[in-house]
Amino acid sequence: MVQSEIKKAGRTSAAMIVVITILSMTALSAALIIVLQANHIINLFGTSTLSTPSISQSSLPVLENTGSAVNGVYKQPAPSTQSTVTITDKLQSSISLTSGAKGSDGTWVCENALKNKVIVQAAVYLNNQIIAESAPMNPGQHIQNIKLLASISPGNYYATVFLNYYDLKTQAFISKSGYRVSLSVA
Amino acid sequence: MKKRKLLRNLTAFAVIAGIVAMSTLTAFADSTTTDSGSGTVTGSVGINGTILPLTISVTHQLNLSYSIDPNSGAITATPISVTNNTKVAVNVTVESLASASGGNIQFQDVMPNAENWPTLDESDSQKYIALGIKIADPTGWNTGYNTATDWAAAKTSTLFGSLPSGATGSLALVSDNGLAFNNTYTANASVVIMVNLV
Repeated sequence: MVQSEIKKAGRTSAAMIVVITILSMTALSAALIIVLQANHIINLFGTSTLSTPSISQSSLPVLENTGSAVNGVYKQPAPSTQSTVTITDKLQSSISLTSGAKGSDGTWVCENALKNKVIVQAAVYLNNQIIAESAPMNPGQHIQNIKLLASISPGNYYATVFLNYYDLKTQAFISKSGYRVSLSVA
Repeated sequence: MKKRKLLRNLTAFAVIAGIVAMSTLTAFADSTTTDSGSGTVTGSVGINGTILPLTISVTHQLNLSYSIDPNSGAITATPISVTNNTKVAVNVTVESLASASGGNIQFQDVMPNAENWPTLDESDSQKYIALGIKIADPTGWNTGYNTATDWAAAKTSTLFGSLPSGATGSLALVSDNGLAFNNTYTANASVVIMVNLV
């Protein structure tokens, strides 16, 4: 009888220990969930979309005094553009040739004004073929003749003169402009 | 004696008569007589004229630059001004307009309707541009100027208008472009202006 009572008391104690253990684990789990929820590690209720790593209190950013910001809304400055350079072209509207033979000289005046800061060289085109080219002109120089690079039949034509501009120092090509002139070959 | 006297008188008379006759002739020489009548007189004078060719003179920009601010979507470019120093009016034609090498990117010219510009990604924003040129404002141009835009991709020569002697007209760059630029880029373009007497 005594032995059975002792066994019964032992079973009761074991059951109580199990119950206490379960309750303790439940309490610990609840506490852990609360902590993780607070740190956005888990999202049980679907209200937060953030998921950041757990940060300990000691690694939170500290506001540093690294300078001062500017008051007001940022206004984009106008984009800077290169300074433009102007050039004045001066050329006769007609080229006259006493012969259409290759190598002959035509009468034609073209100037590179002194204020121009480029080298100018004229190239004459007829039907998209270059037929004549001037000597290079530095600022303040001009030409009075132009040499034929190809043979042309006698007649009156319209030709295109391209004035090619080159850098004074590097002699690199910069740009060009075009002029339509008359071309007479005797 | 009488004969000698008679001879002297005759001589004196002859001298006087001669003087009178000469004076009469002189008087006739100083007077003019105008006869009236009809007839035809023909003459020929050779005139040799020399006409020198007119000098064309134009002042224009040697270079131009543009920038694109994707935040506003706008292109900023220096207007291309052309001043006619010639004694007569000149026509101004844009012979060619094209994107060029030399910047850290080089665009490919396309027509404005070739792309849905606001939706271009980074790669295509740095690849395509619809670059055009048109008359900026009527100032300086003769009436009847061309208001259309000449697009680089069209590769056409466009006559924009004529400038009277002494006038300055300007042309402006326009563009349709992407917006997805993640850095500062530079890009070049070239324009060739053609001038001829009107």
